[in-house]
Amino acid sequence: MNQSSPSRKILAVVLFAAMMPSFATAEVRVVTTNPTLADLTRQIGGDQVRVESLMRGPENPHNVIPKPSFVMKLRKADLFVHLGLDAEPWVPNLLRSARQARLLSGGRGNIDTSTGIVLLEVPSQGELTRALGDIHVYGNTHYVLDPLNGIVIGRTIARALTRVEPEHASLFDERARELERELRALTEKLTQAMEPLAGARVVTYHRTWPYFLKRFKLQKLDEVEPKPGIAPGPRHIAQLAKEMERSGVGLVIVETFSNQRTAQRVADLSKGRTVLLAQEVNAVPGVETYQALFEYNTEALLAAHRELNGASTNPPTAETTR
Amino acid sequence: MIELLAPALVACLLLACILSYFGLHVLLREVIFVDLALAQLAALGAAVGHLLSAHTDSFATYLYSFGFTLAGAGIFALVRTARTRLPQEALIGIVYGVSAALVILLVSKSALDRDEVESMLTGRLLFAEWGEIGAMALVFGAVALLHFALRRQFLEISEQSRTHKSPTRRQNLLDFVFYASFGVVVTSSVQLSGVLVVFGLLIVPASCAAIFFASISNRLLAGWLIGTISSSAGIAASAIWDLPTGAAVVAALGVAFALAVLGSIFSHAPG
Repeated sequence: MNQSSPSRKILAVVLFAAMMPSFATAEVRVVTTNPTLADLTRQIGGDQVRVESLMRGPENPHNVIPKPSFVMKLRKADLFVHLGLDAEPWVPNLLRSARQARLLSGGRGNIDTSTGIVLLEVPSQGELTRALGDIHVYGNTHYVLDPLNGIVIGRTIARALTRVEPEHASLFDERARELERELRALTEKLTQAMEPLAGARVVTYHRTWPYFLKRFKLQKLDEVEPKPGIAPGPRHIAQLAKEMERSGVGLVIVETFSNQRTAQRVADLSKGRTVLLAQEVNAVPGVETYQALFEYNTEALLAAHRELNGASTNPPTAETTR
Repeated sequence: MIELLAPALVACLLLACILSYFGLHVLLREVIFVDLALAQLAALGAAVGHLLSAHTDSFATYLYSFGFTLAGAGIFALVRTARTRLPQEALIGIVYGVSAALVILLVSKSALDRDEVESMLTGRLLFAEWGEIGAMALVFGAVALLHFALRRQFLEISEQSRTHKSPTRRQNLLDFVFYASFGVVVTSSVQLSGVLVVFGLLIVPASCAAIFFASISNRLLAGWLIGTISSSAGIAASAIWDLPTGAAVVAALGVAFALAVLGSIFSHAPG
C-alpha cells in the first residue's frame, strides 16, 4: 500500500500532464482549402480556432498537387472550409482518403462557403457542353473577390463555428457583424477611390474577376484565354490586341498562376500594360488579409491606370531636382 | 500515416514486380522509351474517347485508351518487319511526340477538360484505393501467367531483336502479343501511378540489375529486390518529409541507380 502510493501519485501526475494538451488545444481545428478562407475563418474564430490552409496562395486552385500532410491535417480537423461548387476538383479524393464522415459533403464539419452567394455566369440549360472549355457548371467560382460576399462567407463560418462551439456563439456572431461593418466601410471607401476608373473596360487573363469587376464598376472587354483554362493561339492574341487598341483598352489583369509572358505579349502588342492582382490572400507578398487583398488590388489598378494615361504624377524627388 | 500510405506502397510493390520484369525485355530490345509512347497513346485515346462520348465514363475511356495502345503495339510489331534502317527508338520518339501534340490540338479545339486528360499521366498514388489495386493485381496476374507460359519465346525474340535477322510470321505475332500485354500493363498502371513512376520502375531496377548480373533469372530477382526497396524508401520519404508521393518514389529510384553505378565502379576498380 505504502509502496504503491508514490507511484500512484506519479501516475496521477502523468495522466494529468497527458490531458493538459487537450485542454490547451480546446480550440476548434479548422482546415481550409485556401488562404483567403483561412483568413476569414481566423477573423471570425479568433482565439477559439486554429486554422490551416492547404493551398499556399499563388497557385492555381485547379492544379493543386496533394501531399500526405493534406490528408493528415484533414483527419485531425473539426471543420473543413472550402469554396464548394466545382471550384476545387482535387478535394473529393482528399476527403475520401481522410475517412472522416463529419467532413464529407453533407457532414457536420463540411462547410461550403458558396451557401447563400449569388453566383455570376451561371450557364443556362442547354448551353452546357464541354466545347465551352473548362467552365464551371454551377457558375463562376471566384466569388470571394467581391468584398460584400466576404460578409456572407463570414456568416456561414460563424454559423459553423457556433454548431461546434455553442458556448462562444455570441462571440462568433459579434465578430461576423464586425467583419460586415468593416467590409461595408472598405467597399465604400474603395469604390470611391476607384471612381477615376468607373466604367473602364479591361482585359482579364482568366475568368477570375467578374465579381471584382462588377463590384468596382469595371467592365470586361475580353479574356486572354479564348476559353477558360485554354492557352490562346497566335490569332487570338493578335485579334485581342487589335480589339484593345481599337477600343482604347490598355489594362490586362493577370492572376499569379497565369502565364505572365503571354499577358505581357498582349499588353505589348496593344501598347497597354499588365497588372498583377492578388486572386487570393498570400498570392502576392504583403497581402495577408482579406481586406488587404482589396486595398492592394484597387491600388495596383489605379497606379496602372495613372501610368497608362501618361499623367506622370510622380512628384520630383531629391534625385531628379539635383 | 502508415494506413494512409499503405495502398500506395502495395500499388508500388505490384508495379515493381511486373515492371522490373518488362524492364529486362525493354533493355534487351533497346526500346527504352516505349512505355512513354504507349502511355501517351493511351492519353490520346482517352482524349478521343472524351470527345466522342458525351459522358465521361471511366470504363469507356479505358476502352479507347486501350484501343489506341493496341494500335501502337501493332505499329511497333509491324515496323520490325519493315526492316528499314530506321532505329526502333526513332519510331518510339515519333509516336510519343505526335500523340502528345495531338492531345494538345484536341484539347485546344474541343476544349476537353485538360486536367482530366493530363491526370491520366500524372497519377494519384496518394489516393490509391484497395479496390482498384485488387483489379490491377488481377490484370497483372493474367499478364504474368501469359508471360510465364511464353517465357522462352518472348526471351528469344527480345534477344534476337538486335540481330538483323528477318523475323518470321510467328515472331511478328509474338511481338504483337508482347507489346499488347505491355500496353495493358502500362494503361492500367499509368492512371494510378503516373508516367514517371511507371518509367522509373520499368528502367531503373532492370538497369541496376544489368550492371551486376548476366543471367536473366538473377537480373529478375535483383530487379524485384531493387524495385521493392526503392519504392518503399520513396514512400517513406514522402511520409517523413511530406513530398508528393509519385515524385518521391522516382527520386528514390534515382538514388538506387546512382548507388548501383558507384558500387560497380568500386567493385571493378583495379586493386
